[in-house]
Amino acid sequence: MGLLAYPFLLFLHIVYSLVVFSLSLWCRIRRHTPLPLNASRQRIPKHLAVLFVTDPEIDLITTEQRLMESVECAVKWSLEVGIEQLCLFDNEGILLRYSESIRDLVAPSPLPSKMQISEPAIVYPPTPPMSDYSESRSLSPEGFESSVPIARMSATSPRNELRPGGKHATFGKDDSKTLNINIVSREAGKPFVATMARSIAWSERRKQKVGAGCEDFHLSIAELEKHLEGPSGLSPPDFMIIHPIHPSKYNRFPLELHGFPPWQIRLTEIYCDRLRKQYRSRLMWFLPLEIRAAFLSSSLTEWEFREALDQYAGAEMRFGR
Amino acid sequence: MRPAASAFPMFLVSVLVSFLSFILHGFAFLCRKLKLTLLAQRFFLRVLSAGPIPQHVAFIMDGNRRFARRRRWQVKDGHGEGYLALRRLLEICLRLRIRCVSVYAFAIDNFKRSPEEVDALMQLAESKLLELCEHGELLDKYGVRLNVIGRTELFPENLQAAVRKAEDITRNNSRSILNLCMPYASRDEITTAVEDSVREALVLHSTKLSTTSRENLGNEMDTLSHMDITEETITSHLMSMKRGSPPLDVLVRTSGATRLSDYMLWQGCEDTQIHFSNVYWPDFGLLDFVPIILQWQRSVWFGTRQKPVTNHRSPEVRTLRGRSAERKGIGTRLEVNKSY
Repeated sequence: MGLLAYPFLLFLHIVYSLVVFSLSLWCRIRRHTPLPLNASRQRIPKHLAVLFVTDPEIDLITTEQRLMESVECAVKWSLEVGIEQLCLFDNEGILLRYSESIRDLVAPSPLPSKMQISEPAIVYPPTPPMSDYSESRSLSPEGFESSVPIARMSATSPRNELRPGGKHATFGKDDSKTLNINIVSREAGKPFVATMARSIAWSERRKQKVGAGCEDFHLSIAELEKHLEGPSGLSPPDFMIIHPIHPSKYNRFPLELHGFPPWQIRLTEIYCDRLRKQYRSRLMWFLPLEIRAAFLSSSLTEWEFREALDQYAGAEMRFGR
Repeated sequence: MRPAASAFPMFLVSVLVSFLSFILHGFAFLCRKLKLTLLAQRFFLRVLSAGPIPQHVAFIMDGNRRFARRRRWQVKDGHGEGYLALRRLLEICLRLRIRCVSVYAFAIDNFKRSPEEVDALMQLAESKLLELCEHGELLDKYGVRLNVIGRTELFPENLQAAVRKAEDITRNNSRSILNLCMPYASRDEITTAVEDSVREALVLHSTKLSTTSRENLGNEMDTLSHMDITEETITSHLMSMKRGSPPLDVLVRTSGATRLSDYMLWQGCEDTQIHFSNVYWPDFGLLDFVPIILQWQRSVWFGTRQKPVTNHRSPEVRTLRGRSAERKGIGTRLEVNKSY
């Protein structure tokens, strides 16, 4: 039956392709224009995450360029809407490596509003060594302090230059909106949880040495949450936009989360525009890759951002009830 | 798009959709008339299973209450329909030779619901678990081992007894796994895994110089180096992984919500395809699941997946993931070798 089934399976895939093509055309034609950026919405995320998905088909220079454009736009639109916190993620850590450039990119000159950027602090955890423990090694009395590998910066924009609309704006003394920007990579996810676990283990080992037994070691959710989401951690985003740099290829396959910190996405609403440039790469297959990369790569668009906010505003949260 | 410019493409699309709909409905009508529905379904599944199939699929069974309200039923009837949908999907998955199916049956947060609804859910769970024990043809036919994953100590004693009985009866089954996650929360699972990893590291460290003690701990402990706790260590201590589940390939949430709601966050944050379906769980069926399998097959043939290394009938299955396997510096993919 196995070999005989293949022609039927092929036919099934052909029928499925036709159905998907038809439905995508239908969705494109029937698609509603999203509300303007500064329109009044039922709710706006306080903490927005943008997950950038890179692709090896797009060269590094084009990828970096698209990322920088996207970051600049995301910061500008977030300030305009009144989002308080913005988390920028990419799996490979490209944004983290270029955090200084990002600081320069969101500088005042390309944007109409005055923006002040505080000094970014890239914090890497002083990870306990993974080598064998030596009895002769001394431990500091405070133990190990770990913090999420993250670049933090903030941007402010004067309120009077922005149209009203955001419900959750934070206002400083001079009535300016403040946007806290965090840049993270995959290292802030599972690897950091492992780092935190090692820190906890070392801390418990020290208690053993000073006589406090750890036979009854217990770790609560609240305690782990304090480590992962506290002042040196990453707070959970309310909403996440997944933006592929190569949408034409990405939108042919299902959604993934690409190593985003798992602890923080418990209740995060997720959005991804699955209709952008869906078939464009198939029409350009004959072009050299370098030329295709310029056409097929994409930075974050305002349409995506507005549609995402509309989706978030309409989402129903039940919290288990 | 201006109305005049979109009229012609809309017409074409309408014609295409109508044509395909006519073909599919005609086929379904013929099957019903000739009483071939079951036969057609089974043939359909045989055809699908000729291509690559995911090892582990998880479902967030959302929408039972809204399904009931839409039909002006009581909420408990919606949950009853949800159970029937679970049986349907389970049989489909087993016929497709999906090795592991996980379902989010009850969240720890769901205890916040009204006492009447919680009691109804507890009674439904107990009665269905006992039914599985007494008439477990489906589980026996496919060699399914039932694991109840979560803080079962929060359940009433009679339900705990039913859980133990169901798990004992299916303990020796080895061909497939059904994980009933109830009452479950992913953060609770991650915290427990971290706690267990720390305890294990402390035990290893404290018995480092004791050769006899180290031998008693077992072979898997040899790979751990004292206080080294890695991603893989934590993964291996997750409740679902400890019970033999392979890495999560596909996660499906029904009812239109686009969030994970504290379900399999660690397993699903990387190398897992996520599908949000607008259908309520009791309505979710074969035609809703087929596109998910087709997309999986395409990702294996054309995209980001590698096929499983060994025959899917073998009890030991090792799966290498395309991107994760290449990421040597960041972390290697856990290979689950578990003989059932």
